[in-house]
Amino acid sequence: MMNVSQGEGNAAPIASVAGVRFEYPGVRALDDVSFTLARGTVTALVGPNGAGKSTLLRCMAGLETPILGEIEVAGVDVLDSPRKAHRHLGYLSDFFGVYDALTVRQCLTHAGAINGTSEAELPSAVARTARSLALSDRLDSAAGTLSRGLRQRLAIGQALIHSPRLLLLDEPAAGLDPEARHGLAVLFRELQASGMTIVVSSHILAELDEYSTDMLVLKGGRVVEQRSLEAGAEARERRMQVTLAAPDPRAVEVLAAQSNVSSVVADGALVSFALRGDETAQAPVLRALVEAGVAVVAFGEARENLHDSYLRTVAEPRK
Amino acid sequence: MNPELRRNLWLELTTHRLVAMPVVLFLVFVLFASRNASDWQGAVFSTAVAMFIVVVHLWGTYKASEAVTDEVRDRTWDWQRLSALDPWQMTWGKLAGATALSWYGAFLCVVAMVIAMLGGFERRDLAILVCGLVASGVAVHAAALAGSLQASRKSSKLGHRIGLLFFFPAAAVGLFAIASAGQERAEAIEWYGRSFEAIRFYSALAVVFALWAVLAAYREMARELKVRLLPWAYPAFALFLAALFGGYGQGPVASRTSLALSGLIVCIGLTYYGLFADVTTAMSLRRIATHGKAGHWRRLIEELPLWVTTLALAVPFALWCAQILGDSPVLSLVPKAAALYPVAVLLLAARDCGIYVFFALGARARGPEGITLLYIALLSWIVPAVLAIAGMGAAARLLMPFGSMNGWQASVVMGVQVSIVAGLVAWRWRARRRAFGSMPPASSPG
Repeated sequence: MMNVSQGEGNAAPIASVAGVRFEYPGVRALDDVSFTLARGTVTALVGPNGAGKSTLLRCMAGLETPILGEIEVAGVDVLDSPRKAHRHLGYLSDFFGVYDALTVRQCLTHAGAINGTSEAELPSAVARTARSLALSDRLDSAAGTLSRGLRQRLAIGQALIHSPRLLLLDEPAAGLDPEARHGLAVLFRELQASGMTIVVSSHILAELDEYSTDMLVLKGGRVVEQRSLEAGAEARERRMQVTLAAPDPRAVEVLAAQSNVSSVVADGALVSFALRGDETAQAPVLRALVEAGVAVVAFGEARENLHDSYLRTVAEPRK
Repeated sequence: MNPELRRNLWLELTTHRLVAMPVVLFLVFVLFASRNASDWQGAVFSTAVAMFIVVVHLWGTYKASEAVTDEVRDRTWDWQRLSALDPWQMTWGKLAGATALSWYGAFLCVVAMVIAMLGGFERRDLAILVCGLVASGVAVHAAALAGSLQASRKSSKLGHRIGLLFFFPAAAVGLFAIASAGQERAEAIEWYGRSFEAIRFYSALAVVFALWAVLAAYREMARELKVRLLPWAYPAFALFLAALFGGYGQGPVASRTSLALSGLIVCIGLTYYGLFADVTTAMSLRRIATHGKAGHWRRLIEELPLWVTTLALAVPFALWCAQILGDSPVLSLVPKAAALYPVAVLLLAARDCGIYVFFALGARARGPEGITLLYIALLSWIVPAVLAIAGMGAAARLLMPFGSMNGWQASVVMGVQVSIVAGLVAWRWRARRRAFGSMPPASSPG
């Protein structure tokens, strides 16, 4: 597993974007985009087609210069010192290429070298990256002979061989089979555990749900929502879910009568609600249900589904 | 080792190529030597010079021009732009790496030249010749790399092609060196009243052009890698060309006139070249306006398109030319009334730049090059010709006053045209701002 060095305190955000505006001819792709990324998070960057996701990632990577705004990665101003910032970030474009005539080992060696990995560290960095992406047995194969999935893994390896502190990935799972996607999710969780901060733009929300800790929603070039997906991470209010033996209207009545419960939604035998308070607040609610004669099969915390959350966010009128 | 050089060497110097190159060259030398057995040394020498030019100036230039366009096409260029390498490392890595095999062939050609001389062929100036050939080779390679970097930023195919024209000036110098390569004592060159041996003059010129071309490649690479630089090199190159061409005038008065005229011509020429080869977009113009509004003058100057610098430099040259043409008794062929023609020419260039900016500010996703060329052709040639044929000569002169009006009148007519175009640009600028809402003030230099 890679270890990402932590230069500053963990409290400071790893990246900040402030007032970024970007235009294409006749189109404002990004409009006053501002947000920060906490260290060690995996942020799902989602939004409809044309929302500005790829443009935002390219601006953050220093590949495009916005009209207005500031972007900082690991304390380095990306627009002022892009070469310096590139040592701290990795980026995989949605339309990437690899050097087909070079071997996997040469591709990874080159990627490491141009991103500041020292000559002495290169062999171990190549071996470590190949191992983490299950490419060790392909090191001496020409990149042009690899399958699409393996090329994708090689490209991700090129983006992270220098152990960046921020990894920006634009549709990294496009074209991968389910097994390869699962492997990617496992890798992202490992990278997160090693301290890396990751931003993943993707249309495959179920896949993002596997490893994302945060969600950033873009719509029409603006940030419409940024929040944590981990239940209870931000607020003391948690989303709970009760599974009943059969649909029972009494469940809604009992829950609505509790002073620390709100937003009760029943969907057949499933009832969800927002609960204020920690674990000790759960027991009285469960007791009230049982005492009212409601047949409770399961009772616990519900992790919000990214797909539902995204649809709710983009469907809301812009604030 | 420079990582970019190493990557190119992996690709270029394969065992097969390292073996094939000397074999092919040896067979070519044997072929030409055997056809002229009585003077095999001379045949080998001239064949080696010719093969040097083929391998370096033709094939090597092609490889240098493909160094970036290949990467753009194969979608690997973003990896390179994201690297931590500085522009100089990337420039020389590409320049030396992409052309490594052609320089390997060039080395073998020089070895063949030495062998021919050891065999009895006499050539005093081998070192100068090789120096000129190498320098002109570097010049065309670097200019081709700079041109392909410019082309990679153009959205339209026409812009791509215009960008690639960048290497032609350097290629011309390469051809100078090549032309003087075959003869040991070509005729002397008169420059600023001094006489120089042609091969020495052109070899020295090739070295200077190589330095300029490498500087151009470095600066284009810096722009591509988003490293900010002040735009001093392009006008400095214009001054260098003006000084170079000005030296061909004979006598002190003619040299002064020649310097002023070549300065104006070079500045106007480079303005048109920069206009079509460089990238001027609504985005870049908005960034310039934003920096100006926020008082970030250094950032504003860094973002200026190349053509602005040479258009500005053309102003003093135009005034100097007007003064010389007005005063100088030497130029008896030029009527006094034509003295302000240089100013009118300057205004013509300003009008055409305005037309380009007008279309660049449009909502079209395609580049403004084609439509600008069309309108320049319409205003400068097609409509005036049609009006003249229709017997409306006065109207034709209001569009293209050169030749039929004196310098004052031509300047006034072109001044009115510049004002109209400036008004159209201002109108489009305001319309664009209205479309997106007014610009908020920039908070910091970023």
